[in-house]
Parts: sequence; structure tokens; C-alpha cells
Amino acid sequence: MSSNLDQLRITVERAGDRDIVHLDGELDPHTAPLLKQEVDQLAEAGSLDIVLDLSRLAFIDSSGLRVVISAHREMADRGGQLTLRSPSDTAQRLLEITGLVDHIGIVGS
Amino acid sequence: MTSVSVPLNDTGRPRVETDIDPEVRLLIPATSRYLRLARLTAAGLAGDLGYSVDAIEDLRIAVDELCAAIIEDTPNPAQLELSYRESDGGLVVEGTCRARSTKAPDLHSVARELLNMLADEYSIGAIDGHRNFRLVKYAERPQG
Repeated sequence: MSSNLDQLRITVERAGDRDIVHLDGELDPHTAPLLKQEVDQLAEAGSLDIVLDLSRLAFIDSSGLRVVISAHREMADRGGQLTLRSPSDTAQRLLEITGLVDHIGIVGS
Repeated sequence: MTSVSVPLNDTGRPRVETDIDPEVRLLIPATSRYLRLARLTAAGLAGDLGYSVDAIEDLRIAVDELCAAIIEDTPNPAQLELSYRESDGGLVVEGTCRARSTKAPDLHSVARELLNMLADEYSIGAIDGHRNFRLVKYAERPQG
């Protein structure tokens, strides 16, 4: 399953009980709502293990970070988890600047 | 041994000789769809000025955050007017667009945190039915 909104391509891959959301492109105020919608749909469908693959994320700003923070909190409230995987250099830098590396699980960085 | 002398300006920042025009203007629809163009222009000019990859990345994010903040309350349709110019070793970006409210934009705490970390100087406000910002990002001092 995949969807496009100009500069961001979102692809969801099911691996066992885990949903891996691949982000390819730029996450900004224009595209962040699409990620929120995708994660909300997965959560409503009962997913308790969501991984955001950030390896191909070319840009992220505060609107993108806010979606990640909010999704992480909502998943925890549902008894699930949201993890970040292989953040690109630009994503890793922002996660470090904001201190999110200490609060959200990151694998493959 | 080779030595390289880096000329500094009055503020101690590296002086960058550049052929870019004194000012570049960009007029785009004031919607989030076009923020990418504002970022691309900033990145292109900073690249011409010899900014490091990290400084260019800082600038892209800062421009994006400030543009996003001032277009939040625009009447539809509206235009976002941006100017970019090199000044005293730094790249100055100014933006303005019409706004429904006369109130200065409220920056989200995450946006403010990023701007405080990534911009060398910035201001954001409202005047005469317009919201505006000013951002300065200097080229980083070369290591060593």
C-alpha cells in the first residue's frame, strides 16, 4: 500500500505483527498530515507495533516532529509502540537537537 | 606546507566573495505546498556562498519554520514574498505576507526550539495587516 502527496511517498509494509512505514521525501507542513493520517489508520486497525523508516527522509521540520511525537504518545496510550528506524542524517540531527533520541526508540541509526 | 588565509569581516565571520546578485526575490502562493521552493532557494544561495552542508541544512529548516508560521493566518489567496541577500558574511532572508490577524504569529514550542538552535538571528512579527520575519544565518567558521 502506498500513497503520494507531491514530495513525500509513504509505503506501508506488513512484517508479522509489525507495520513498517517507509517515508521517502520531505516531511513538512504540507505532507505531515498525510503521515498522521496513515499512522492513525494503522492504529485504528489495531496495529500495536509501528516502525517509521526514516532512511530516505530528505527533510523534516517541527511539523513532522510533532506528528512523530504525537503518534509515539498515542501508541503508548494504546499499549503499543512506535519506533524510528535508520534515520537519515538530516532526521538524526533534528532528533538529537530536540532531545527526542532520549525519548523515542531508534533502531539502526 | 600549504597555508590558507581566510579573510574575516568586521564581526569575525569569514568573508565570502560571491558573484550572486545583491538580492533575490521569490513570490509564491502563501500555502504550505510551496514552502519547498523557499527552502530550495535558500539552500541554493547558501551553497553559492560556500556554506557547509550543516549550515545549509540549518538554513533550510529555519526558513521553513518561519515561512510556515507567517502563512498560517493568511486570507485566501495570498502571496508569500521572500527576499534573500548576502550581508556581512551572512545570508539574510526576509518574508512577508498578508494576514487576517494583526497578532504576531505564535511559534510552536518545537519550532521555537529549532529556531533558537539553528538560526543565528531571527525575528517574527506583524505590522499593517502583514506578518513578517527576518532571519540571518552566517557561514560557519572553517575548522582549524
